[in-house]
Amino acid sequence: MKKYLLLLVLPFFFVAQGSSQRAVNKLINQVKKHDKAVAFTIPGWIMRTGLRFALEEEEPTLEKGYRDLISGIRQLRFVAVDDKVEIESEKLNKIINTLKTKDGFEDYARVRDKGNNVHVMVREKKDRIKNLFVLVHGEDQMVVLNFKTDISMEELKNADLSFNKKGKNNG
Amino acid sequence: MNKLFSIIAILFLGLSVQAQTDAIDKFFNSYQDDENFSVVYVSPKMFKMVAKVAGEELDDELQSIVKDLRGLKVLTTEVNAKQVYADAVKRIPTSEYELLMTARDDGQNVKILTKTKGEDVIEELLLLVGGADEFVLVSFVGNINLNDLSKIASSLDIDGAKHLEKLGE
Repeated sequence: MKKYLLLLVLPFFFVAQGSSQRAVNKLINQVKKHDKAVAFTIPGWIMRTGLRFALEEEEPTLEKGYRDLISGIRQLRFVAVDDKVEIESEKLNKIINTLKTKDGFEDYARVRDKGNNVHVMVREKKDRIKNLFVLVHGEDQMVVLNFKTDISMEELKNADLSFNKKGKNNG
Repeated sequence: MNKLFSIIAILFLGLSVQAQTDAIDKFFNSYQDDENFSVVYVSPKMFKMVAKVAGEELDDELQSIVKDLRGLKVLTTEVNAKQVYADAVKRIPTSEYELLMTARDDGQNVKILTKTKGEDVIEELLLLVGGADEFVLVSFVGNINLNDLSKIASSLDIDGAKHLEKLGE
C-alpha cells in the first residue's frame, strides 16, 4: 500500500518542480514571437564547455574560483526586443507575483522610472542561487533573462577575488 | 505570574515594532504598482550579495555604507504629491520615530526621521518630502552612519536625496 501511495505522490513532486519554470518559460515563449526578438537558449553543458575553452586559452591556469563558478551554470534563456512589446502591465505583475508566491523567487531589486521597469529576482535553496531572473520592460524595449544555476555566494565571491587579484596586478 | 506578564509584554512590544515596519511596507506596497510612481527597492539580500561579492571594488565611503545596509526603498511621484504626502503622514507612525530634521524649502515640507538602537546606532532613516509638485519617500534600513550617508547623497541621483546632504552638517 505504501508503495502505491509513493507512486501516486511522486508525479506531483515532479510537477511542482516543473511549475517553477512554467511562468518564466511562458513569458519568454510569448515575447520571442515578436518580429524584432532576439532569443536563444543555451544548455548548461555548452556554456560550461565553451567558457572553459575560452578562459583556458586566456588563462591556462584557470583559477579554482572560476572553475567552481562555471561548473554551476545550468541553463540560460534570453530574449530581447528593441521595440514596443504589447504585454499588459497587469499581466507582467501577475507573472512576477506568481514567481514570488508559488515558485519561491524573492525580489532582489526593483526599479521603475519613467515607464521603464527592472526586476531582479532570485530563487535560492540552502544558500545556493538556483535561478536568476531579470526582466527589463520599457516603452520600446523588453529583455527577459532566466539563468538556471547552482552557485553559492562563496563561489561568486571567490571568483571575484581571483579577478580582483588579476586586476590589481595589471593595475 | 509576573514571568507570564513579562513574556506577554515582550510579545506585544515585538508586535508593535513589527507593525511600524509593516506600516512603511504597506504604504510602499500600496503605491509600488502605480504607474505614476517611480520606485526603487533593494532587498537585504541584494545588499548582502553586493557587500560580499563586489565590496572590494567599491570606493571606501560606499563600501562602508553598503556593508551595513539591509534595505532601501524609494518612492517618488509628481502626481497628487500633496495628497500622497498627507497619506504618508497619516499612515506611517512618524510619532514613533525621532525627528532629526524638519525644514520648509521652496514650498516643500521636508522631514528626516530616525529610529535608533542604543545611543549611537541608527537602524532606520526615513526621509519624507512633500510639496505641490513632488513627493519623495526614502527609507534606509541597517546600521547607518549619517556622515557617510550625507557624503554620498548627491551621487544617489534620487529626487529629494539632496536633503540628506544636510545630515553631515
